[in-house]
Amino acid sequence: MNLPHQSQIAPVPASACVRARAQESSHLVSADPAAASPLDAATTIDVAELLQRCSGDTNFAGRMLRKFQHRVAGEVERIKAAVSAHDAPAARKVVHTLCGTAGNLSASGLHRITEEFEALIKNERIEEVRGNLECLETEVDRLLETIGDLLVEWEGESGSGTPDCEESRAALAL
Amino acid sequence: MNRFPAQKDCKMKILVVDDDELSLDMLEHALVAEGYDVLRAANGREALEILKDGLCRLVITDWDMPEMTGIELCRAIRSTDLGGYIYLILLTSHRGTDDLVEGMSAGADDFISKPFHAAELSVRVRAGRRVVSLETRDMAIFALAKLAESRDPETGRHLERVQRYSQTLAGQLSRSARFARQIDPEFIRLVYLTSVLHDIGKVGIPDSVLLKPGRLSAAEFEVMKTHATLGAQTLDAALTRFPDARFLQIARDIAASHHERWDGTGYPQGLKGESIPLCGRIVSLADVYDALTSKRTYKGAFQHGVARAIIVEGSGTHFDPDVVGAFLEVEARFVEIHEQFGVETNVAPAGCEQRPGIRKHEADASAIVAVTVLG
Repeated sequence: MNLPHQSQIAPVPASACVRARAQESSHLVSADPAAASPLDAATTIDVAELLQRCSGDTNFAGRMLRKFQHRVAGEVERIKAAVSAHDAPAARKVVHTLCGTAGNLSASGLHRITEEFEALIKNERIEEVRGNLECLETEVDRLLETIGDLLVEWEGESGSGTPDCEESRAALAL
Repeated sequence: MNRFPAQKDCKMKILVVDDDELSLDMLEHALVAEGYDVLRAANGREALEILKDGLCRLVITDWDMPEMTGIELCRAIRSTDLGGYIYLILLTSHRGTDDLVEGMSAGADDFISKPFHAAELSVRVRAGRRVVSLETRDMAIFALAKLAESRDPETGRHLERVQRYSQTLAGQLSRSARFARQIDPEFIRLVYLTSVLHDIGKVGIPDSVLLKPGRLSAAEFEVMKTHATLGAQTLDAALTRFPDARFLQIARDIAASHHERWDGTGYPQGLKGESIPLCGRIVSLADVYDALTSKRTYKGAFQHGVARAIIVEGSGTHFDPDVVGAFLEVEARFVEIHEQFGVETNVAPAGCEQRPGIRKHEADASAIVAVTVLG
């Protein structure tokens, strides 16, 4: 099976605010001197790594991505609510879960943002999280679009669409 | 008909613990692909319940979880008798040295960084599997002890009880400043593991003595007493080949000294006081308590209160006073163990009459104590 390379599925450029945050964060700086900006070269999702974690099973990887599609909006809303209420423990809990999920799905951009959110909350800088919630939402939008493309691509490779794929398209249409 | 279980029934079980369902799914998928059976728990409490069935020996747990964190789960597992060693891998995004120290202090054996890498997960689980497989050594030790015990059919689940009594006493002693440096967790575990070998030397006692239904002559009694030396010699032979094996050293000391008495009147060497190895002093009390509270052909099972009184009376003569002190602190646990592993129900009333003469079991210090006190 011809698996998609990460460059095929991450064409969406990083948003300005995410890029600015990336430049502030030394650990995000690419080792590649040719990279103009760390997140210019960053991928929304590292498919090769995701499939390696899923033993090359695109059906299973697809199921995981669909689970993520279904729940991420709720998690973002819970983060926003907790941050607005200055409820650091609640915010940290949801951010931590989202960070873990992003890591498992090799959603590099979201993983970096949520990692930083966790650190900020831990260091009692929840106000800075509030100021960057838009970055989170932008990245989640980017990610959902990429996941949609990826699922369609996998569906094409595997032949007819599964009920899950149909469900996925319906979710994206919403 | 195939009498052997299918291969799938022999897969190693791994318990994964995480409050995030997606994370559980991904770990499970990766582990199943490696050929493992996977059990799932959403939190530490669920995990402990699953572990109580004794079928799972390797746990991969997230660190940050509500209700019970991974660290708390590690501590709970280490402080609970789950029937064997549980290999613990903490799945964590905590990367600092302090976190590593905290995790390992709580009882974790290894760490896997989040998000996990399939190849790393595979090799770390294999490392854990190697450690867990060392327990086959423990099983071999127990099987050997059971084989020796099988020649002496009266004793029921004596070995299991002595193991647990000894473990309980060692654990209690470790809490006192006097023994804190001498008794580490490994010592407690090794006493638990090797106390089953205390009577291994009985395999060398002729049937005519060991299985004699009637009274032992003085000469036969002397033969019976050699089981302590025979056991020590057997284990010495193993120690010669594996001199660094601490479990063999402790097993040897227990076999050699569990019939020694604090006042120097025991056998085989007549050692006195602290010259008797601590492990031997511990198992001595455990063995006597079990003999007193178990039914024998020549006596009924004494109730706990009677056994307690005999042991307290033997403090400073038969038994190390510190070990007796520890026993009094944990006597409720002794009763629990007896109830959990005891099968003898023929309870003799206090002051029951003893048959005169030297019985074969009087090679056990227990019977000597019983005759001394009650006879």
